[in-house]
Amino acid sequence: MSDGTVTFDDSKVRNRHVNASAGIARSKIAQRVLAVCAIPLTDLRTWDALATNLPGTPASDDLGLVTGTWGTDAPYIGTGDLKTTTTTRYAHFFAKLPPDYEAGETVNITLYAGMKTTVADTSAIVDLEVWRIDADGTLGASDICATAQQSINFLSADDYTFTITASTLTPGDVIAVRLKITVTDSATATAVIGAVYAIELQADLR
Amino acid sequence: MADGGFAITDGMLTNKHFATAAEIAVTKLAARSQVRLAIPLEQLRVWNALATNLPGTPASDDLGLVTGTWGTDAPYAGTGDLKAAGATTRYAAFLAVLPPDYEAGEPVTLRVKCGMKTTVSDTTCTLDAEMYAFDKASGTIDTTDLVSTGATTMNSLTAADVDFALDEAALEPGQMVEVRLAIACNDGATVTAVIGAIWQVELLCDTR
Repeated sequence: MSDGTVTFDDSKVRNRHVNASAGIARSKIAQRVLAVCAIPLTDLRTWDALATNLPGTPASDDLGLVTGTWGTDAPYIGTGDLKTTTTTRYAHFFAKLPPDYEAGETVNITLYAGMKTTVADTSAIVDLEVWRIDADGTLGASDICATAQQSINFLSADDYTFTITASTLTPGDVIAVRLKITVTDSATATAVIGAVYAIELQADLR
Repeated sequence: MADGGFAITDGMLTNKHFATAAEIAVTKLAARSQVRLAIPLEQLRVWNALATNLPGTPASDDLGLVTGTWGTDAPYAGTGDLKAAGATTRYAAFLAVLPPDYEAGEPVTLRVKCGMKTTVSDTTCTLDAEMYAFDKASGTIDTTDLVSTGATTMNSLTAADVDFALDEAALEPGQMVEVRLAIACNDGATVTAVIGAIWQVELLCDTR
């Protein structure tokens, strides 16, 4: 193929023109921007006892995995009823960066979250802490979640996106994530329950 | 392809012909048809208490995750011995996610390799599946069962794939789905053990 002297129309190249062993470099494929790599809620564990699944009923400082009625309710990660208390509850999960993640490119974690039944009369916030797991038995640099805590004190669930500082991240890295919900309520009569319905790792893949 | 006397022949183009910043859209790549996404058996949970792993010994309405002897037996999700137990149904559930390169709305299949251990049931043994998708727009699950295939017999000593077709029209990359498997066994008088067993669970989907 000469260069500079020949022109041909757009959209002429077809699969049959590409050599069977062309070996087209991945870097020449367009990036999948913020591809969704969802985290099954069953991956979440008790934050200070990773061998233990979340409890079915939230308690102490642990969020729970609430099943609801099969075929009717969406399962969710919940605080339990925290009316008239100030309480913080946690859960933990590991997330894997996929093999086709492009090193150093954008990584977000998005929570689809809100309040069930009633909002807190003061506040309900969600926060994430994220560490990269080094292969030498240590954690990487300190918390690489660059987004501060956010209010989820709304009955309508919505996406809450946390930006992860990706400068040290590479394909196959495992990150450790602690999810925190703090509810402050002093006088609400009905149930005040913080809920996370879906968790997505979003990453630029190529 | 000829254009003004210039031709690109079949098989002519190699990596060097594509610009470094070619940015070839993945939509122009061929689809991978029915890519297998294995669901490890330990992801199966108690269907009405998703925080709870399957028991090691099946009981009540729960399938069990049976380990067997390390290095000898294949682990499986099983019913336990239901000989002469009459009609009994046991369940397990799991949450699965579609991969980021799943092509929205393209076919998705739930495939379960299953069969009977030791003895077939003297009446029937079937496998059924239900699947519900989480609907972010409403914050709920869509209460329409996506599985269009009915209960299918697994009453054979030879393990075989049972495929469940799905209504995939609304499915998207990263979609979380909730799946329940049910083994319904009906045995009246078999003398030896009648155990329904699931050896492998997979989602098959078209990716690009």
